[in-house]
Amino acid sequence: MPRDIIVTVNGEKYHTVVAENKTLLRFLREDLNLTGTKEGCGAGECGACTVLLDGRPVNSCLVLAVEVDGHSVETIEGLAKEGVLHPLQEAFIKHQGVQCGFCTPGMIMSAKALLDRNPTPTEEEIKEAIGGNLCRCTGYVPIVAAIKEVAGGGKA
Amino acid sequence: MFAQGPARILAGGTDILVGIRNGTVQPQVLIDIKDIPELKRLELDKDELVIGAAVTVNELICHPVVREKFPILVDAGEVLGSYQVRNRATVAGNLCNASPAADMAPALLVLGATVNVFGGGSRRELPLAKLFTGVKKTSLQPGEILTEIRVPLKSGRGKYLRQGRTRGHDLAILGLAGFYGDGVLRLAVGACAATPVCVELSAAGENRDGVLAAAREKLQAAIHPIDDVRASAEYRRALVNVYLERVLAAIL
Repeated sequence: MPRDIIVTVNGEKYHTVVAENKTLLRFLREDLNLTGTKEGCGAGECGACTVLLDGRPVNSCLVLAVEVDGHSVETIEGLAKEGVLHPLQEAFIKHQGVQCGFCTPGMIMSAKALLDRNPTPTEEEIKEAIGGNLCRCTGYVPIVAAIKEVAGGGKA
Repeated sequence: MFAQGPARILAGGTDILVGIRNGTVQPQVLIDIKDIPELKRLELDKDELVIGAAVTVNELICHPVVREKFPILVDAGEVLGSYQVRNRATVAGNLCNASPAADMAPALLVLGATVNVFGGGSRRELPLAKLFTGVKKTSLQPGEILTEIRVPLKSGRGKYLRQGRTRGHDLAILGLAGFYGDGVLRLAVGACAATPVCVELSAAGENRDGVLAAAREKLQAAIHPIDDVRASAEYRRALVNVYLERVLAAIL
């Protein structure tokens, strides 16, 4: 049964209709064409679908679109402002924390949420924060380095 | 939280959405309880910590009262799932899903937690141990909902340790909780039987080695581990002894 929802995504308010059993992940990708968020496992284990819901990282494959009615979602598409990359995006490129890129949107959203709540994390805290984001390519070292640089005030 | 039927409770959704996706659970209706204010209670009420059914694991482990007075719950919560999962998964949901490996169960058992259940117009309270009846089975009747968990504040020391297959996020092969206070030692084990298992023994006036030996015997007798995809029964029994020693070293 379709339902009306009002959800703010990357600062833009959407008033739309969505099937009750559609996940937030599929809603973002199919209804809003925001395909940056990826489906890796669909079961909340890989983190490729990580978005921020009211500022908190969640696996969007485990959230129904109807549950975000009245809430605010941030995806990877919301990070760059008018073509200017976010410091995390710059750092990931610089440190080669991106290879195939599939884990990257979710990884960066987890990292952004970490720095929002803890601007000066230890290496251990970084690893714990991205523990729910699997990467098959990089071995994580360059990812941690990228986050560390931004945390160290590489850029604001 | 509702027993098998066309309607199921939706709290965090981190278990039920997986079930819906793979077809093991096929509700016609989901009842979202997240906006019910009473179910978001997380506070000390006289001598009891009240954890409402909609409180997430991250909310629990970040709460200053929990961190100060119930650190074993932080031990348990911080290894559950991943940070993303913990932002949605509820403590009550972890219990009601009733996986034998539920990370919140052993810690809450050794603390002597009780749960409040509402259904059919009446309330009842039961010890947490009475909630679990089998693998993914609880004593909740159709139409009943677990509304809150109550944890008595006791003086003592607790610790929860668990072993997964990897250092990262995985289900527990074994979870072991211990609480020692007023000369009484309570131990609980997850992932070694159809339900989490809890035992109690007196430790007042005993020397450490004596307590360890008695605890080991009691625990091994209480568990029924099986071989599964994550570990063998033999390995689990061996791990119980190792983790028992580590937990006791932390709390005795």
